[in-house]
Amino acid sequence: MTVRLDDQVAIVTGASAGIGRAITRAFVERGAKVAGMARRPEPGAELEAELGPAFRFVPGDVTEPVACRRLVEATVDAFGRADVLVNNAGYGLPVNRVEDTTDEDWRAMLDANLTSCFNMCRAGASDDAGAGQGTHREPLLVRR
Amino acid sequence: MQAQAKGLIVNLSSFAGEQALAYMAPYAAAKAGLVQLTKVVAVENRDRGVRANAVIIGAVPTKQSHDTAREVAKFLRGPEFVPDREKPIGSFAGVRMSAESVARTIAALCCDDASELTGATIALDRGFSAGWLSSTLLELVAGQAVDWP
Repeated sequence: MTVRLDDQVAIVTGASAGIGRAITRAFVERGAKVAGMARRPEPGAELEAELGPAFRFVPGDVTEPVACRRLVEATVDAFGRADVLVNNAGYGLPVNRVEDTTDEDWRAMLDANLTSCFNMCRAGASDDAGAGQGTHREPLLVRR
Repeated sequence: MQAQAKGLIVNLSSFAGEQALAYMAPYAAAKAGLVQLTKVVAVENRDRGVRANAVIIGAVPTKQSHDTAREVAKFLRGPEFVPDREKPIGSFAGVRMSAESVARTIAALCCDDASELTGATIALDRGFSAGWLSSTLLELVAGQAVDWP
């Protein structure tokens, strides 16, 4: 039995190629609406042409917090809300021994594969940019 | 997501985040950190209807994974090394999955019936991280024909 995702609104990062593109297609085929981000605009535009109004492409770099907030805002603008966030964007190159890894490569890899997901979790969990800042949060453990 | 008290975050990690993958320290460290970030997000949002799960993605032939495998091969065997076109490096024949089958599985995780699944680290790798590699080594030691990557 194929799962249906009717009425779900999803955000997919790295949506223009590989696994991210496959996730985007699978979600739309199952009835979801999807907003996707990737750095290169051309493959995203092609996917938009293929999938029609159920897919909204937002070009941008998920290592930048501003771009992540823009993606969430664009999703809410286009489809009203965000139900699912798939943090797919990332990459594995370059390869090197630890002692030969440059500061720039280390930072770039952490940015691309970890900080990007932090940016999206922060932007996506609260839906609108900044909503989580300064507001009261329930404590994790309530002393009784 | 918090405002509507409903949401799901799926973070795509990698077997590199669970097992050492030599010569890819920043990638491995980032993917391991992503699993832990997922757990924290899950716990912080447990009463807000927002779930978070990490998925350990195994061997999926994409342009990016082929590029990575090719660079690893060149790093180990020298820049002149040319991979066999008939048997692409990094094919992991025994546990290889298509991007489409991975996407279908992730879609299944997103259905409303999975509402209690949060903070989980889910192996989506056809048994790779469960012990496929060590079991394959056992077959090799036993002299059996193996479907080696």
